[in-house]
Amino acid sequence: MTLPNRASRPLPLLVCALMFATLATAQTPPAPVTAAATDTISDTISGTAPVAVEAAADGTPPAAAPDLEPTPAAAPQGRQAQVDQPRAYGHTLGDLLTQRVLLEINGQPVDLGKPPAPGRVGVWLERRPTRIESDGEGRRWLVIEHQLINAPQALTALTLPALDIATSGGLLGVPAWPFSAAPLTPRNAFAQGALEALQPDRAAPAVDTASIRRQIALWGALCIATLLGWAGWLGWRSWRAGRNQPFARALRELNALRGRGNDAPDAWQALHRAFDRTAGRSVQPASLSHLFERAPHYAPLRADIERFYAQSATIFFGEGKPADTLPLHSFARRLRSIEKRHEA
Amino acid sequence: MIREEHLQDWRDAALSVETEVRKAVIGQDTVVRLINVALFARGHVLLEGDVGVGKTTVLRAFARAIGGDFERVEGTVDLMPNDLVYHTYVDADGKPRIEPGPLLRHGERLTTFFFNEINRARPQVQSLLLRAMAERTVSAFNREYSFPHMTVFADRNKVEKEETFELASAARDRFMFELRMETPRDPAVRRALVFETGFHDVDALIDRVAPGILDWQSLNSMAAAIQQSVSASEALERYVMDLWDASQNPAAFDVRIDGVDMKKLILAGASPRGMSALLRAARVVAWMDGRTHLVPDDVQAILPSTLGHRVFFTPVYEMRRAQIADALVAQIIEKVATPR
Repeated sequence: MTLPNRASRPLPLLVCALMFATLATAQTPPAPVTAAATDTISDTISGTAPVAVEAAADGTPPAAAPDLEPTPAAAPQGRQAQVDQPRAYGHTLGDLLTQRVLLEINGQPVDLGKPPAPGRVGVWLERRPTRIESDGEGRRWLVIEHQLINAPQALTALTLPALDIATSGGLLGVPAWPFSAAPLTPRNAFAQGALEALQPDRAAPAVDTASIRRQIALWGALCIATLLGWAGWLGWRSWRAGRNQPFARALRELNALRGRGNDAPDAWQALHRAFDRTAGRSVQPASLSHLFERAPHYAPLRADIERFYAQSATIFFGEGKPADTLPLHSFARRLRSIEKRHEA
Repeated sequence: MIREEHLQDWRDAALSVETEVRKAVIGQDTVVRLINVALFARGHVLLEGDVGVGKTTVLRAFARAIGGDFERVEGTVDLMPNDLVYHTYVDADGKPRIEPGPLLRHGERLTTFFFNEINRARPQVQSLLLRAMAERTVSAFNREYSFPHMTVFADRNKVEKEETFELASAARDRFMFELRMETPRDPAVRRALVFETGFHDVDALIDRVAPGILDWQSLNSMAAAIQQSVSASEALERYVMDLWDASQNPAAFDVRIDGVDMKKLILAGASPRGMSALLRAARVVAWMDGRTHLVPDDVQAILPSTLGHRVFFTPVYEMRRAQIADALVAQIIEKVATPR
């Protein structure tokens, strides 16, 4: 049997194949498996490191060769045990072969000494950890399970190895048990015409999705357009609200007045209107407390705001321009930055 | 010619009048300040308020601090105009005698005339008083009597409505201020008024006030000088014009009062006389504050007392005058912006 060594095949395929193998274990009729899948299983096995094969039951160390077959003819040395053997035919990759060995010698129950070690048995089989079961009559059975872990290319006769099981009553002999293993599917079924190689899965008929796609595109576009419109409207509204905030407006007006000097009466009035709008009422020096009640975040600028009102009173109602007037631009910018921070 | 130093001296005197009156009356600082303003603006004052809050005491204290004579008349249903002017009686010799009544009795020395419960007096009496207020003269005994230094204080009883004659709107307009004198709210003041025996004896209380702080005969000329010494800028003129407009058409200034249709509220706004009274009073406030120019705060300080009784409401709202007038003035102060 030639097993090309191609260990670099992708892992997902292996997982698929193993799942398939597990299904097959459930004694279902052999399902068609693609050549690739079969290859993968073979590859995997052949790609493994040298496997220790449990040799005969005498406890001698297993041989190191991976392809060493257990000697099917070797008869067990111990007393012939009563064994429920598995079905001898119709096995495929992944099947479990279960032997049940009655733990009795000469009708006397015995205790298990050293159970057969689990692990690889030759190329074909893997022994699982054994377990002990009791039946309805109280008899104890040692359950030995071997899994077929390789796929033959053609119908092949294989053998469950003979075993000697150490018990409290001496060795218990389990004879070898021949069974047949079949490939999952032949490489070439008919070898004529187009019926040569393994056929790929038939492609599922494609449903016409053009109209569904069109609908998805249409509704998706509509949805996106609505969301965009909504976001745009929200953005525009907050931008406009930001623009309309009292000190934002005052700052714009001040910028427009830049050419006319810092102390144009319009500039002072623009700031007055901004304070009025912030306080929600007309603010005079005597009613400044309303401003700070309504907008306490301007309190850090209280001294400057009071100075602004004092100087404005001098300009508009008193003797004229005071000596060092407040730099209105930077004052308005500071007020605006507070307003912006507070808004956020 | 009155010079600036005189104005300064008078300002000190005006402030000390206030200080003296406050020795006798506690918890009524705003009313005392506004009465003082009215004195120096030569305006008459309509007092309105709770019973027994000390209206007479305030006036007597003022009369004593300013100097001049104080006269008081009780308004009653059967009071006739002549009762103010003359008094007839039969003397000890059995001869009929006619003597000047309360209005004429003091001649030019009369400075403070207190008409208690003016709304109990008949309209004839009220109109005589109004003439005396406007012209500070009365015709009697075939000649004119003048009392150039008189300030009239009238008290309106708000509690009872029976057998009263409500002041006509034209009559109300002649008072510079309508002042509401309420029971003090401050617990310390209330306790003092009840438990400090000094406040129980009104005569002793009045004696605390230093008499004749001012030269009351110069009050008129000084008031004129004050008016001339305080200037109003263009921006302030605009502000006062806006206030006037707002009193006539509050809706245009976005003035809103809960439960009131602003378009149907006002029958007539403040009169030109009212606005001139407003400016006169505001100038006195500025002068008392040591300024030679008006600022909006001066106007706002006296606006509630000056405007409230001068705006005429439609009959639907007239019944709720006290409540609506306060809200209206407060809203006008809030909504009319300055400088503009």
